[in-house]
Amino acid sequence: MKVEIDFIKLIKDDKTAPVNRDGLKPLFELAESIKLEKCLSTKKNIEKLFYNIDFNEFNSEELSTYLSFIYYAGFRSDIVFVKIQAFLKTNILSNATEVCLRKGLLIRFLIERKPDTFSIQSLLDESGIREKAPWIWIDCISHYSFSLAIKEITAHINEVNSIRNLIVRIPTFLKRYGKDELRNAFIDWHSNIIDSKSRASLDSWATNLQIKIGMSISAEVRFKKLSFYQETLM
Amino acid sequence: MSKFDEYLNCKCCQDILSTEYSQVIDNIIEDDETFITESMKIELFSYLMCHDGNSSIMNYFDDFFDNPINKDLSDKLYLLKGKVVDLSIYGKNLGRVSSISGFMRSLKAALSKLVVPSSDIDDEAFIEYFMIEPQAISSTPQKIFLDYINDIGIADFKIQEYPMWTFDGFFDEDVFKGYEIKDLPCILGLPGPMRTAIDYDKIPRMTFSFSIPNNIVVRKPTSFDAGYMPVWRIGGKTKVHNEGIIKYGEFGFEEYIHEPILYKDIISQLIKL
Repeated sequence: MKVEIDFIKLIKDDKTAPVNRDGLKPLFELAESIKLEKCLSTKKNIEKLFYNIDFNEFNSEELSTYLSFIYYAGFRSDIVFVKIQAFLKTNILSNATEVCLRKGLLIRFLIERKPDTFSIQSLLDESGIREKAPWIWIDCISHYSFSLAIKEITAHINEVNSIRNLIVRIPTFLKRYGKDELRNAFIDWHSNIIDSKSRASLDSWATNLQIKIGMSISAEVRFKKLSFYQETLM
Repeated sequence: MSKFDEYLNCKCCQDILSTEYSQVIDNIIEDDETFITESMKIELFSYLMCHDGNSSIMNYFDDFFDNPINKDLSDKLYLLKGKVVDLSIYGKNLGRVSSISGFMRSLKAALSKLVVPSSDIDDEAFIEYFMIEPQAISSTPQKIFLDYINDIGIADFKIQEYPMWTFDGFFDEDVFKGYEIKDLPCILGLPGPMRTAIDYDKIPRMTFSFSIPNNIVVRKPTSFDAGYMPVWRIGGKTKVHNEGIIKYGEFGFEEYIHEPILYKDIISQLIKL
């Protein structure tokens, strides 16, 4: 079937595909066309393919591309969700990082579109994803409880690349939870960072956010560490 | 009678010539043979004659121009072969218009080398945080995006993996005067989702300015760079879409193509179109 060959090839080749004058690669040009309802027959053919797609045939990068395509093309079809739910019900025994990563990507996709189809408890039970793909798990849990997400970030804050992973998410957190929530979170993270460079980076983001975090955080952290006697004297 | 007639009679060429993509064939035939030689053209037409009809012609074209696949740009047989632009280009700031989703996909590909990117559903919030409206250019001096890419550690990463199409003078007052930023996709003749002019204005886009590094060779695009892109015209200037011709004339800005710049070369804010 012509479209089947092209579609899977487009996903597999996306990483190395050339972009057009506009910066779009062929797979995402197709997504734009489908979104604008310019190629309905192709859309239908691709929808049919969703029934037969085996997530095990994708590596995590390809799976991520596939999910992005569905998002950018604006597919609303339930087939994808049914497939994901069915896949997650199969007994995935391996706790290998790649397996956890793929499972995490599917759960994140599901939760963000249909949070009711997953529960906070089942997410807490996903210890493999929590351990092997913590930032995906954090993305997931943040949809149910930002305070749990904050705690989990705090638990990982001194790991390699954690500040980068956190900064990547700041615009989203800001939009979803607002400045006040984020300010409280910053205080928590800031007081737990060991590395001075990472702390400086967080300070700089606090300044960017204009939520009076720079000096006030330092002061608040200092206050937290003062004894009651010292506070009284001040 | 064209020297390529024997090739143009093949089914694939005839199919293309019967559609709105026929300009692609015209571009190739008419292109300056100092850069896109007759033998290169014959190679392409011979390739087209072998199209078996089982894959889309667009992808089939892309595979040709992307040859050899998965190699560095410097190894590509057909890209970036046009006339080199003189050294005065290095004193200018160039402009770039990109689809927002294309920019996001490239950014996330860069991020994924260092971090676990957040999901696509957050992309809108993400890019909106950094973009400004055209009328806010002078009143928003903060370059938050540049801070961001520095903190994440991708300042030295390429902005995309493939050649960048850019244009002259976007932030140069003399050239920009009289042009409205929101009209840039029209002036630049950017493609719609099917690479024709149809729905070109339905694709959400952004623009920014950058300084071109001295180590990047800037060239004029050829028909082989444009590939399966019927909105492109030979001549070195962008082809304004029909609806903008009365206002801006048929041709817009000088256009260039070159290896991608780095994120740190961006010198302006990201402006939403």
